[in-house]
Amino acid sequence: MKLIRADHDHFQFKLSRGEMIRLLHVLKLYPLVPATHHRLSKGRKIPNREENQQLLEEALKAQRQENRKHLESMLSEPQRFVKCDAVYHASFTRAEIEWLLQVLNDVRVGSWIALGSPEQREEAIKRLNEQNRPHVIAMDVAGYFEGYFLDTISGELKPGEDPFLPAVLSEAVEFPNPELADAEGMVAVGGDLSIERLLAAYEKGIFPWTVNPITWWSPDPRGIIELDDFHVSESLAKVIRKKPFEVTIDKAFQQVMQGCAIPGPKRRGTWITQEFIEAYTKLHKQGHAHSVECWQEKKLVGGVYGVAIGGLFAGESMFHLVDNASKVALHHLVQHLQKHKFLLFDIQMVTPATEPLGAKSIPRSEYLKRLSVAVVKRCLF
Amino acid sequence: MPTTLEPVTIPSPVITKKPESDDDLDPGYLVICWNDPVNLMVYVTHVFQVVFGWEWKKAEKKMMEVHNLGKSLLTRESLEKAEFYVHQLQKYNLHATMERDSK
Repeated sequence: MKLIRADHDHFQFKLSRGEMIRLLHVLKLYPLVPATHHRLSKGRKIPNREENQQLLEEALKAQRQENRKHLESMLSEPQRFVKCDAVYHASFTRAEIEWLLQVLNDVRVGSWIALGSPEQREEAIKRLNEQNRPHVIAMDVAGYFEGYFLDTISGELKPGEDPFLPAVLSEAVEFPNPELADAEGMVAVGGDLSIERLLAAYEKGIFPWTVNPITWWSPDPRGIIELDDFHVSESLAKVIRKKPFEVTIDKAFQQVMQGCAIPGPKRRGTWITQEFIEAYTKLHKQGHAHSVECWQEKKLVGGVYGVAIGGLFAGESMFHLVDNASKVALHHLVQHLQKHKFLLFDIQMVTPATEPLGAKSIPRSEYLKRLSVAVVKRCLF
Repeated sequence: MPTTLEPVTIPSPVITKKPESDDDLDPGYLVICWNDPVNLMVYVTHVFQVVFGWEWKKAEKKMMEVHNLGKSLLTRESLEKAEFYVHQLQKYNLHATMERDSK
């Protein structure tokens, strides 16, 4: 989204198709905040408290109905959003932006209420699943446009300038500088999971985390495992010596992803949707993504998978159905990467499962420096 | 457009030390904005400017009070005016209430 023209009362914006879809999507959700959400008073000393509360709710409800009508009429105006080549031009007066802010914030607050009013956005992100994902996305997308409109009417944003907000990706395969990510590490919204775009993302230290819409992340700090500092505890060494599993490489990539996609009590797995499985399987078929599998009696009981570019291996997820199966798979993967002289093993974030194995956090700036060296090294997985 | 869009500017409340009329004897009603984790700081500042007609500097100071102290007393008004402001703030989905001033 870009502000292309501004005078005192009129503003014209350029939006990509993806931005248009997202803006219309959140606007159509309005209204989301229940009329009963707001209380007139916390105390009991207000005259006719109950009656006044009821009047307040009725007023808010009537106003939302009026807003909804107005919104529908605005969205149906043919001159409001004009297609111009591959982009859209949208014009609003200052008063209309003021009003849109109210509408967008209703969607943001309403989505937050639907998420159970979490104290922090990360709480919702941690337990992201099919049910709450649309609310997280609506909250973020509404917040994105709110921030943009606020910067516009405050005069902070001049025509032609890009805002300091997560970018919405267009059809062109390019990513913004990951150092411009927001506080949580989100760099961009939108785009697709094509092979070309996925590889471009990993090369820049960015990875996708959700679909519908797709969100792209570059957390700070970043979790890695130093390839020469992989901790094998005595108990794990004992397990490895016993060779309880048959270990293979790239024999069942899709099955490993499917194993990782099943949510477990101690494992974040639900973010791996069918779209992710299809996209990464394509990467695998082209030789960019790999898996290590652990088998017992010909049954897949654990594994790990990730993306390899030059001397970078970006570990995506791992799973186990039998104790130690994911640790043994990870151990084999590390040995394999050491043998082939890989330089960097990215694990995105340090988790309780990877910490005892030597995982550590490094600043994003350091990760990006090491990444730039690793990705240009010629390594064969 | 909804008629309530335009910024409403009202004079700052004047609190005199010595009551001069019966109205001043009324303890009045406090309009309070409470902190929440969802409203963007820049949005809260903006709404304060629109609803009370405050300069950006004052609006931001009040927003920071909400953010740092958990709440901010925005204004002290008669019952009717306090209700009006609470309605305006809630229209923007800020967490605002009115409370009886016991002083």
